[in-house]
Parts: sequence; C-alpha cells; structure tokens
Amino acid sequence: MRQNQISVMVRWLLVLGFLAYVFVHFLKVVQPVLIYHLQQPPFYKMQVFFSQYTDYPGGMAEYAGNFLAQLLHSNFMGSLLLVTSMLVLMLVAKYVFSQTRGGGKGFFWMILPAVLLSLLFQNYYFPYNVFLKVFIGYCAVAIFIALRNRRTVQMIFFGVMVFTLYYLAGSTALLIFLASVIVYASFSSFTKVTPRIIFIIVALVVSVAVPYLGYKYLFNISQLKIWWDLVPAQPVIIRYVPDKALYAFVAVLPVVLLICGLLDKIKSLMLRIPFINRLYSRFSSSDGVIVYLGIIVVAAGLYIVIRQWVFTSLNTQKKSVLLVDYYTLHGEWDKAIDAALSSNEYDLFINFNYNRSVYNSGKWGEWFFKYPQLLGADGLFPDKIVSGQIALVASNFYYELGYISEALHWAFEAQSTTPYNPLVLQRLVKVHLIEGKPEAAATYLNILKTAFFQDDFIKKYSAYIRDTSLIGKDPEFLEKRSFMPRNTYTPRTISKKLKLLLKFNGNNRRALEYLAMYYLLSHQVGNFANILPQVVRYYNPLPTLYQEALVLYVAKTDAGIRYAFKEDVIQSVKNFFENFKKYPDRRVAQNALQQDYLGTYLYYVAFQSPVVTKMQLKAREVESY
Amino acid sequence: MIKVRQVSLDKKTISCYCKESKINPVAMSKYFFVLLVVLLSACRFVPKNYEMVNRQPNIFPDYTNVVVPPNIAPLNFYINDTADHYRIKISSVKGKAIELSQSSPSVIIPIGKWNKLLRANKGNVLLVEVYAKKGGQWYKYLPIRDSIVDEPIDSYLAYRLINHVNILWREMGIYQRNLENFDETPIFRNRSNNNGCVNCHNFNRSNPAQMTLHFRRKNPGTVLLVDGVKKKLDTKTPYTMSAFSYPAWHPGGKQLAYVVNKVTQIFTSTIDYHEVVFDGASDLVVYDIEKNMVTTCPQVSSKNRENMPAFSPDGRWLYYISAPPALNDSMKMYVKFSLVRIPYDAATHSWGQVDTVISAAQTGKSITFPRVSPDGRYIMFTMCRYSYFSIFDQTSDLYLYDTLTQKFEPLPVNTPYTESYHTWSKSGRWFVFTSRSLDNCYSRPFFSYFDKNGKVHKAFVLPQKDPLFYKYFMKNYNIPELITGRVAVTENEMRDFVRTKPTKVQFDSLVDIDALSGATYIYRNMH
Repeated sequence: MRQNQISVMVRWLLVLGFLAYVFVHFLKVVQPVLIYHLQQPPFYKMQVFFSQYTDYPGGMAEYAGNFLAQLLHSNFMGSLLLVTSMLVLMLVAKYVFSQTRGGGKGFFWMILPAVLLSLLFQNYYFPYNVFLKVFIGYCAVAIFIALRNRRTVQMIFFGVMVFTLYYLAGSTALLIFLASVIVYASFSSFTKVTPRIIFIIVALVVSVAVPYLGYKYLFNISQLKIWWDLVPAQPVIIRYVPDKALYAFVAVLPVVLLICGLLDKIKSLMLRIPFINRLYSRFSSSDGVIVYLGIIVVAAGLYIVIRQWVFTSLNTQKKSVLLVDYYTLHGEWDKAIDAALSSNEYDLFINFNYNRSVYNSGKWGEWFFKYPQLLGADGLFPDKIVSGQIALVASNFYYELGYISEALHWAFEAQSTTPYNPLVLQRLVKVHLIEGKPEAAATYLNILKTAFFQDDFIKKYSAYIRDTSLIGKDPEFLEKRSFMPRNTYTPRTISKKLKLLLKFNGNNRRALEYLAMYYLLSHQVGNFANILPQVVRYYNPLPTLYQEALVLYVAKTDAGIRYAFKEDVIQSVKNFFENFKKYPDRRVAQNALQQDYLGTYLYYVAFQSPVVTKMQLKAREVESY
Repeated sequence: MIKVRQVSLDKKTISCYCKESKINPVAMSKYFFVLLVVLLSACRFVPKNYEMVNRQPNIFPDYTNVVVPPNIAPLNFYINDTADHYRIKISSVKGKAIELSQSSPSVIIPIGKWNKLLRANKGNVLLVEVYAKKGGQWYKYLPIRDSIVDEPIDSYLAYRLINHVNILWREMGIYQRNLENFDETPIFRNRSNNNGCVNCHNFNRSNPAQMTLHFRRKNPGTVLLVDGVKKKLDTKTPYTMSAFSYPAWHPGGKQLAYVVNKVTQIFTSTIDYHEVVFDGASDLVVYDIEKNMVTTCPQVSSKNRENMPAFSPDGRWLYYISAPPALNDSMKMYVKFSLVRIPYDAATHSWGQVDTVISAAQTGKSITFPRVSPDGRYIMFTMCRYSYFSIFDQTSDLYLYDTLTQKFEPLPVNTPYTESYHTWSKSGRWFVFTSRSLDNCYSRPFFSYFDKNGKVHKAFVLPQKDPLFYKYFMKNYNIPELITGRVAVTENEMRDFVRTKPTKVQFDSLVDIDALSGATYIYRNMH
C-alpha cells in the first residue's frame, strides 16, 4: 500500500515537473503577449457584443474563451492560463482513463492530450476557445462515466447533454463526446449486450442528426460547419489553419479509450496462456524498485520526446514577425530593430516595421539597409497589394506620415475584417479627433470603455471629448493636422502620396525621407538628386548611404552635384566596383563582397534590388472585396 | 389590563368588550382613516413639492416634439440630466398613464402599456413628464409633447447592416425589424455564404412578397421573390456591361428596372467627403420576369451615364438620374447628375423621349435616389456635391420636388450631417431615411411624418430596447425600406436557395444591338 502511495506521488511529481518546465517555456520562449498581440481576442462587457455569440452552436464557448484569453495580455498570467488549462485537461483525462478498463491509473495516457495541447498553444494563431470547446466535451464524458452506477440518471444526462453540448460548444465537441461514450459503452459499460447495442445505435444516429437538424432548421451556419465547427470563422490576418496536432488533439480521447479497451481485451486473452500468466503475476508483485525504475525510464523517454518534438515546434520565424510588430507598436524601436535583424528569413511585415523603427530611432541614414530590402520600393509602403493583412499596418504607416485620410481609410478597412480589434478602435478615436469629429470619436470610446486594458487611453481621450479645446493643444494632433492633405483625391502610388504630403507641408520630414528612400530603392537617383537641397536641411553631413547613391550617380552620369562627399565614401564606391568587376558571376561576387558591403546602398543596388533579382510581391489571400 | 370573556360576537358584546378594554371605536375608525390618508400620500406619484426647470429634459435619443404613428415601438430614452431618482409619467387624453419610478436614467417603457396608450389616443398629444430628485429636492422639467397621428407606419423595416465598407468586407446581413416592437430577424446573413456580399435589397411598393436582392462573389446571382416563388438569375449577358445592380420595381410587379454599370471608387482627403463612388459608364435595363428577358432602348443606354431608376406609382414614367459621359478623369469623378424621366409602356416595352425634370445646372449639385411618393405628386431625392453615392458626403441632404408647382426645396429634417437614402411608406404619410446626425459616423434610420398638406415633421430615430444602443453599435443601417409585413422566407430557406444554380437571363432579340453602342462603346474604349 505504502509503495503504491509513493509511486503515485512520484508520478504526480513528474507531472508537476513537466508542467513547471512547460510554464517556463511559455513564459520565456513562447511569450503569451505575442498571442494576444496577434489575435487581439475581443471581449467587451456589453449586450451587443454578447448577443452575437448566442445564435450559433459553439458561440458561448467562444465567448467564454475570449474572456479567458484576456489573461494572455500578460506573459505571467498567460503562461499560468495555458499551463492550468493543460493541468485541468490532464486531470479530467486521467479520471476518464482511470475509469476505463485497460486505462490503469490514467497517468500515462493523460500526458498525450496535454502534450498535444502544448503543441497547439505554441501556434500563435491557435484560438484559446478551441481548447475550451474540446475541454467541455471532455468534462461531459467524465460526468457520463461518473454516473455509470446510476443508469437512469446517466441516460437522462446523456439526452440533456447532447443538446446542451451542441449549443454551448458546437458540433465537434458533441462528436468528441459521442465518440468517447460509444467507445466507453462498447468496452466498459452495459453488462448486457442489447442495451449496449441500442445505446450505441442511438448515439450514432444522434451524432449525425443533431448537427444536421440544427443546421437545417435552427442555426444560420454554413454547410461546411455542420459537423466540423471547432475553429471559429476568422479573418485572414489571424486565421488558424487546422493541422495534424489539432486533428490528433480532437481524436485523442476516443482513440485512447479505444486503445485501452482493446488492450484490456488482449490482456484478458493473453492471460489465459499459463506462461504469460506466471510472468505477469511475478511482475505485478515484484519489488518496488523495478516499478520506480520503470516510471523513471518512461518519464525520461517522454521528456526526450517532448523536448525534441514539442519545444522545437515553435515557429520562430512567425515569432520574429510578431515580436517586431509588438515592439514597434509599443515604440520600442531598438528592440524592434534587434528582433528584425535576428530573424531567420525575410518577411514583408518585418521589413515595414523595421523601416518604421529605424526612422523613429534616428537610425534611418545609417541602418536602413542592414535589413535586406528585397522588395525595394514595394517594401517601403504596405498597401501595394490590398488584403486584410495589411489594413492596420497601412493605417499605422499613414498615421505616422500624417496622411490622416488614408490612416482613416485603412482603419475602416481593418475594422471591416476585425471590428472589435481595440487597436483599430484606438486608431479611429485618434483620427476622428484630429479631423475634428469628436462625436464620432466618442462612439469608439464608448465601446472601448467596456473592454479591458483601455483605462489609460480612455482617461486621456475622454477628456478631449468633454473639452474639445484640448485637441488643438495636443502636440501629436497639432503635428498631424499640420501635415494632413486636405480636399484632394488620394493618389494611388506612394510617390505621388509623398509628394502630396510635401506639397501641403514642406516640413514633413518623414515624407521627405521616405520619398528620398523611394527614389533610391527604385534606382531613381536622379530624382533623389533633385530633392537633395531639401534633404540636406536635416543632415550635416549626409548619411553614408545617401552619399554612396550620389557618388554612384555622379560616376555614371557625370551629373554635377554640389556637395562635398566624404573621401572614404568615394573610395568605397570605387573599391566596390573594382572588386565587382573581378567576378563574372554575380552570385560569386555577392558572396565575396558581402563581408565589407552588406548593409550599404551599393550592395543593395548590385545584389538585392528587385530590379536585379526580379523578386516580386506575391498577392496574398484577400478578404472578400 | 383587558379582560377577556367568552362571549358571542354580536355588536352589543363588542361594545361591552370595548368598554371593558377602554377602546373607543370611533377614535379607532378615525385613526385608521388618517393612517390610510398618510399611506396614500406616501404612494403619490407626482412629488408634492418640486421646483420647475425651465427647459425640457436632455434625453437621448431626441424624442422631443416628434410626431409618432400609433403602432410604433416604445420610444425608450436615456435621461442625460444626472439625478438620484427619476419619475416619468407618460400620458395622453385617454387611458391610464404610464408611471415609472426608478433610479436609473434609462427609461424602458413597458411595451403593452405603451401600445395601449398610443392606440387609444390617435390624434392626441402624448405628454412625457420627467421629475428628477437631486440632493433631496425634486425638480420637474418642462413636459415633452409628442403627437400621435392616425396613420400607422408600415409594420416592418428592412435594411442591411454593414461596417464602413470601402474595399474589404466580412460580415454583413439583410435584416427586418418589426417597428411595433423590438424584434429584429435576419433575412440573410453572409456568414452562411462564406462572407460573400449581399446587397441592393428592394421591394415593390412596400410589399414584402416581392423582393429583389443581389449576391456577389460567393454563389453570385440575383434573387427574386415574387408572391411565394423564388428565382435565382444570372444577369450577365454579352450585351450588357455588368450584372444587374441598383433596382426599381415596376408597380405592376412583372418588371424591374436595373442599372448596369462599371463602378469605381476613389478616396479623398476631404474631411467631409472621404470616398467617392462613380461610374465610368452606366445604362438602364428593364427585366421582364415572365419572359426572363432583359431589354433596353437607346434613350436609357446612351453615352450619358444613366442611373438610379424609380418608377412612378402608375408605372407610366421611369425616373432616373443622368450625367454626361466621362471623357476624362475629372469628369468621371466630379460628375453632377440631373433628374430626368422617360415614358414607359410596360405592356409593349415601348419608350418615349427623355424629359429633364431638374437639371444639375439648375441646382449646382448632383441629384440621386429619386423616389416618387405613392400619390405620384412628390419626388423626394438626395443632393450631394458630386457623384451619386451620397452617403459619403456630409453635405448630402434631402429635397422634395412638387410636380404640381415644379419647385423643390430642402426638407426640415436635414442636419449639418449626412442625410441620404429615403423610401416612402405604402400610404405615403411616412418616410424613412438614413442620417449620420447622431455621431457623424454611423448611418441610422430616421422616420418622419409627411402630412396631407405636404408638411414634413421632425424626424425620430428607430427606437431600440436599450436607449443607449446607438452609442455602442458599430454598424451602418443601409438601404432602409419600409414594408407592410414580414418577408416570409426564413433565413435558412434563403441560405439554401442561394446555393442553387441560377437561370441565365436572355437579352431582348428585338432590340437593335447598335442601339447599345453608346455606353457600351465607351466601355470598350476604356478597356
């Protein structure tokens, strides 16, 4: 007895150790704030928001999931939420397996759903409410099993739970419940055959009929969601694509129940063989040391598998994209730059945010090309290709430039796809205040008042609604008002937009610098030379990359540019082309010159520019339009 | 000490009983009477002492001094004046007053009592008295006086709920709201159609049994509901430049006019006109339901841009807007439409000559959304600075043209914000329009009474159960249409029907193809 207690304690210690390890992994590596930052799970304490979740199956679980997902706003609380979710799932799974023939105490099997869940939680797109739906299904199975000695109550519970579960958690959660209870009934319940068969048939019919009838007569849902509605409909920008981990997670409960049942049957058959029977009896009554060794071996094996599989499954590239975006949003420019430069692959969104960060940190002239500008001028502005992914990015971009009407336009586009995104609503408040429409700003503030984590923003801008004279005293708003074009149509190309901004205010330095960089990126150095008199107002001396471009231009065109270029820049350009000529193969040249020239304008023009590489911006999946 | 004896309960005995106990019955009676008076005084609704406030209460939405139909849902409102306690009394000439005593400033009027009060008081004034208690002192505001007219409003309102859609969209739906209570049910929501677009719902003279609407991108086509029969049409033909867009029913219910067009939008930095929608080219066509045939004529498919059709109630005239062809970018965008009309014979599909009703040169602005009143006398339209998508122009206002006097004037319901898209009720005594006057941001439906003398009364916004609903609701009410009953098709029936294969419409073989060379020719040049 004492040995059993100790072995149980050891197992629990191992489980808790596993969870502690996972907690630290989530806290330090995954960083739940990035999940929150990407998904912006909406939750508002108002009737209009709640009511949209009440008229389709699974809506209530999504509502509750969004509420709990607010904890992801903090790394610590978010990690605690995720690990607690794994723990409660394990506890329920353990109970279910331990009450099943062949499930033993459930310690071993309960690890499986937890491991799968940890894989899912590392996917930044994975909505928390998907876990909640499945968990509700697990709980329903556990209660069903707990009522096994009270058959009448159990059947009533079954009947009620079918409809309740369908409405609360959706058809997939219902299918998990039904599949599990069918397997359970097949192996572990109903001592008599006839009631067992009847129950299984009824459960099978219900699993098809209830979702179909719900679709046909009760709920306005798409055909595709009749039996598979686990993942909520989401806009492209945050869309989670179900993967093998999800399918495995959905199937694990009934599959493990099936395995346990089959194992139990096989065990019964095998124990009829005397030799095996003697061996089994010897093992089950052997010294505790062997048992403990067995536990440790299994635990070690699991640890290695988990470490190699689970913790290497994190998409580090996606994390980089989110990290750069997160730091940019919070004005942590240097961290954004570091994160961008640490990323493994080129990404368009890292490119945009890197460009914004180097400008805002004052490193524009020296650091611009440290990140590979592989899309050239197309990487400078976000809205070349219209899609849901670029809407908020574009709004941020134009807001910074002072192109307020475009910031508003893209904020509305973003709101069409993610109507309750608080970042979008904040943008709409500010833009409407700048445009002198406090009544419109008040509407969005009213909504933000019912959200979490908006207190500082609300406090500041509610004062502007009460006293609109404050709008004209806000330095940020004053600057934007001085920059914003008025009463013109909006050009389609970025160069025309930037020129328009400069036409309305020649002191819009950001617009000027972006225009200068646009010219350089698109090999229009002559046009850059034309605006040089305006650029030199801000620099003494000119940044190296500007000088490189001009020296290159002068060398190629003999244009007369009145500027005292630095001697080392002139020499650098000369050396570059001398070395470049040595290598007939461009790729060989690129490798050879990388060490000395990577991060310079020269290197970009020769090797990275899309004019040379023919790289083109690929159209992304768009929302409907 | 009262002595108790076992006696039978007759008056004499009681008298003896009382004497023994020294209780005076007369005094007791007086005591109970005084107690009764005190209790009744404590239950008095109107405070005994109050100070008058020399203004009406500040309420949201503004339901002060409006004219209401007898069948409208309760005008729940929120009192912006802060107080500890409120008493609200709603009364009229006949029937029992509605009395509400509460500490919340949200006034939710019981719907049963409200309906009863209104229906009993057609033609009478509705009085709303508000008392507010602050710091122990009661105050009474000047009463709100609304008028209840005899004529009911159509019992339903259909509309699309949509975000500020520019290029991208996701969720939208067509809904119908019972105006006599707060029930809103969806006619179609696009989440069951993979977020495809649904638009341009339209009814024949407020008849819910005759409806048209379009579906785009996902399961595309035009759906017609005609007296219980559903049809889905593929409206593209080799002889028209697009599928059908903006619709107008012929009152006979057998034909509809549609626009075919090449629509573009651009964005501007004009604070009060951020987005301009215009057509590079547009024509009018008429679709014959029974023949499944689309026809047109040179007059309405000219080089000019014809748009926004509306039939007169007798079906003899087709009103629409017309603008010169777009010969350059500036003309495309800064276009001003005139109001014109053309005679039309539905039986023979024959057309007359175009007649200008109001020219853009006369107004200096652009006319859009002409809507003829049910008695045929008036035409309500919207005017904006240019183009025809007036919802984006903050200066957009409503106007009324009197065909007898041939004069038009702006409506008193206009505000400094956008007023746009309007439809008449079946009786012509009411009209609905969209306005952004509540917050200069979102379109809301407003109703106004149009009396027999042609006077337009103060408008009121669609009432909601929660008085503060419009403070939190982030969708636009788009294309509000008054209908006399509920659209019979359920949402799921519509969902299932939308997935069916559409029937291709046929182009009228009797129409000389060269007659289409105007706008179609221009379109070919543009591309």
